[in-house]
Amino acid sequence: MSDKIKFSELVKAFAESHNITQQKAENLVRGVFNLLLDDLENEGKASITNFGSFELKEVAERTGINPQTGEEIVIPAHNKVSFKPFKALEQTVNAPFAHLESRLIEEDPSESKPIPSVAPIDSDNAEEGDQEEFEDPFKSVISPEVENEPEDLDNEIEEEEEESEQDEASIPPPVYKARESEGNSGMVLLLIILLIAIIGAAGWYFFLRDSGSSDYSNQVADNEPPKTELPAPVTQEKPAEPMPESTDNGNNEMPAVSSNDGKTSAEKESAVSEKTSETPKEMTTYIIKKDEWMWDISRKVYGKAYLWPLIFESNKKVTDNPNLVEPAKTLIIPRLEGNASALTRGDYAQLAKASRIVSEAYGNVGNQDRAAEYLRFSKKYERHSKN
Amino acid sequence: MNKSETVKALSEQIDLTQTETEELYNSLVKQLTSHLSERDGFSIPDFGSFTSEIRDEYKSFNPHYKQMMLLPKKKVVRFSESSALKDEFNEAEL
Repeated sequence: MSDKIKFSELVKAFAESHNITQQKAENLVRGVFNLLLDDLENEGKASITNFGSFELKEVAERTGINPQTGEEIVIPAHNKVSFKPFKALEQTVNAPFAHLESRLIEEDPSESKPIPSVAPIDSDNAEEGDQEEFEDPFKSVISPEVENEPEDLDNEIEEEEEESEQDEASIPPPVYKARESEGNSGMVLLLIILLIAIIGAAGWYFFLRDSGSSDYSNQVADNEPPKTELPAPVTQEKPAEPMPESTDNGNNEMPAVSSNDGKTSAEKESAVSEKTSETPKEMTTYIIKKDEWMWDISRKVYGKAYLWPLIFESNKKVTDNPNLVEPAKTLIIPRLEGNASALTRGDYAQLAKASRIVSEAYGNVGNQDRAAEYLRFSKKYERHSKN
Repeated sequence: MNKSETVKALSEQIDLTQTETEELYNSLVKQLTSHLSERDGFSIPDFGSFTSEIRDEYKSFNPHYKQMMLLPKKKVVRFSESSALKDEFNEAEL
């Protein structure tokens, strides 16, 4: 099993590769470690350049259990030599696994995170309405004031409408949804989503007939310029007129199905208008809720928290302190080229740039540790963007 | 004792110039490193053995993010002292 090399083999290999006698090679190797021993005896520590350091440590007396007899024994205080590999050695040895990175465990029940990823969405629903409802975390806008208004159903339909549009533009990472449906009874949720999508589409169809689709696609196109403030709320408030009709349909649900033919064409139309207006730079917006940090927001909109520097970079005008985010402000959410679980090189380049900006911002508010950390992240992303 | 002092002492022991010794010393370290990364490790008589093993991925609390994290598997170097080395530093007590 073990593939350890014997000392004689080691010496032989070294002697042959350097054209010296084995005696000399052995003397050299033994000499190196004898010098180490001397150092350890004299100073209590020693090191080999580019290899590692040794230190003499005292181990206090403790009680242990003899694994064979099960009785307690006293392990007397003693000295031991500890070894700590240097970075050069660690990296060379770990080369085959160097690409692996640590990641957050979000579904862990013992986590002490104040805002777990799934819970806040559920609690929102509890406030909004009594019926079990799927709220899409990727909707463009969450408007706190609107939530308190009586026409809850309208809002939900609105949100679902936006969800179905976004689905067609294939933005939301599927990971997030999968987890969502695991949490509750998945099939029921899926059914509800389908129903609401149909209702939403029906309402959409009425709206289209009233005001014409060209209006809306113009509004969508307004989203394109990166720094426009609050383009999305307009789209949300605009279709308020046809809402009574749609709720009527929504309550008995069957009429919605009867207008199926019109619906699909309307859907397609909206999908087309979305697609044509979609560029990699397209932004959506997000209104900050209380006690939300960009980290949380990034996890909600992208599904991955570590992408938050992108949000920060796009919102330098709104806030220049990455730690402080005021509630009810609107953030612009930049869109990724790939998706959150498979970033493209362009995304990485953007992330590298964003991390550097975050690092500078931390430097400006006097948090040097974080600044250094994000500078390191930036370099890492830059490497990713090149290969 | 730093590297140049080590090299100087070594060069006297094996009767070579200091530059030659330093080259040998550098390549020795390189070779030991490659033994650890390509094979399971090596042992030095009367000193101890160096092994490299794969540490499995594990969960740990990250105080910065206040969240549990999954740390990936990693190949790490372990050192275990030989009994001779143990005795060397524990003679007084035994």
